[in-house]
Amino acid sequence: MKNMLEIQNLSKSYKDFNLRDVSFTLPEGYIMGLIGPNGAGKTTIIKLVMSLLKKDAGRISIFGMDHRDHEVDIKSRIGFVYDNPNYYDHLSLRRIKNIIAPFYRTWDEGRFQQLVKQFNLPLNKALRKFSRGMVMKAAIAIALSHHADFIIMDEPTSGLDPIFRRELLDLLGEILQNEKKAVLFSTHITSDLEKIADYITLLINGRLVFSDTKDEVLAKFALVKGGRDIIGDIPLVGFKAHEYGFEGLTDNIQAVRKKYGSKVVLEKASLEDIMFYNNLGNNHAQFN
Amino acid sequence: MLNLIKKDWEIGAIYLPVIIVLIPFVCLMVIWTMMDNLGFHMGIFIVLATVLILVSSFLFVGINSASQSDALFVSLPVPRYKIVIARYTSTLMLLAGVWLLVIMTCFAAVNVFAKSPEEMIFLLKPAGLAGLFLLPFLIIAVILPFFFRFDPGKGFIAFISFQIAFMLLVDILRYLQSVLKGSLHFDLFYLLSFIRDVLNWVLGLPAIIMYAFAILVPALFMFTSMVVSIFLFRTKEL
Repeated sequence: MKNMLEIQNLSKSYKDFNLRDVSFTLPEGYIMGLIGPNGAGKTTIIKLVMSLLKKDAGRISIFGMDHRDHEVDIKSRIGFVYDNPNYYDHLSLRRIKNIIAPFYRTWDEGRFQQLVKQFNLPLNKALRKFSRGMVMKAAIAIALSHHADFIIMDEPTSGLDPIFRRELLDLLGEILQNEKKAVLFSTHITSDLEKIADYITLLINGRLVFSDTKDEVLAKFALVKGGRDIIGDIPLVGFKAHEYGFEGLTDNIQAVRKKYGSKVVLEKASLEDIMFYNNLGNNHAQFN
Repeated sequence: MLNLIKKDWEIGAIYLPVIIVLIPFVCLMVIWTMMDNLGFHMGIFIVLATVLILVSSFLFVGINSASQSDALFVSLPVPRYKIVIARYTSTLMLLAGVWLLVIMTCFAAVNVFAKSPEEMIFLLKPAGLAGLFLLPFLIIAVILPFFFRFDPGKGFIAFISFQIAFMLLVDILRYLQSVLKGSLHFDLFYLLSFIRDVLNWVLGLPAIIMYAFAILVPALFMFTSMVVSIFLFRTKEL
């Protein structure tokens, strides 16, 4: 199995933010969800992959090629959706399409028309009259119309209604039926990822917490609830205490079960719980 | 590359009819006030025409900067240097179009009114025509690198700061000249007289060499500006 994306020891520094030594891989045929709180470094990673930013250190390889040395070849095989698509808002979607389509040899006009119809987008209306959700839909239609092998999406579901989000996830699922494609998808809406992601990568404060298959991530972590008397001893990634006890996240389910047995309640953790408590643990905060 | 140039014309298309109508109108007003010796009004219309020509020349740069579309085009399969060359090409094409519009208006006015004021006689001579084109040409060459390095707001501020610094430099030199007077022979006007000497030398050359000079020097200036822009845009973070 080939890797679609390989990131090794990637670093990028700003005055108030550092992305430090991030490494992960995405094999072809899979969807990776990039999650983390605001300012974790998700958009920075996507911008570095797309060569919009210059890395300070590390290596980025896409389709097995260095992302800088083969920039044009690589980008012709990438479909991208940014959090804030910078289209000319005085132009209609038809004109935007006329501008972008000639850059791709594999542009499929039929596919574009089909997506526009499916997303219910007006072709001749100026983009400034589009809602944010409609602009995102337009960006998605453009990204999916040139049979890209690798689709990179930065918060594509923000501003979209649940019905369209579901539709988009189905579409991505369809694309992935071709095993030689892959999707890198950053989002805050972790419930979307629980439906479709194969891999989850969690970033907090510019550091990689983990990058693993979704099943392994969900199997590794569990929510723990118990009395206040055992908070100090129990191995927790992060927790919040309340008057009668605590709720936290553990990455050592067996040890907790063996040592505390019926003193604690273990529940399945969602991706949101995992992100929340990892962030809480990282910030050394707790609520009372 | 052609797609990038075509794209600029497509994004500017809705503003082009305004330019096509406004520029001849303002130019006609300049000519009319010239013919009737309406000095004050002529001044206003000349300023208006200059601003309009400059703003029109910056149409593509302005729209691209305002919509922050660079991130979009850098994400497409096209090298960064081609984005810069295409922006320069489309801007120069637009400037040439605006220039032609002004010239055509002037010639049309001369023929229709069957009158040519003295100022216009100069404008319609080769030197006047070249001057009319060269001013916005040189301004574009100076400004564009700032827009390729910075965001639109910062680009504008950087350009203005550069202009102010340049003007201050002249004042500082004047001040130094007055302070050092007597102890050091220093004349700011050496520079001006040097430029005048060079111009006289150029004008004294055979016509073909003179025209080659008139084309090559600004072309070299614009080429340098483009190379600087490519270098600055190559490392720009978007």
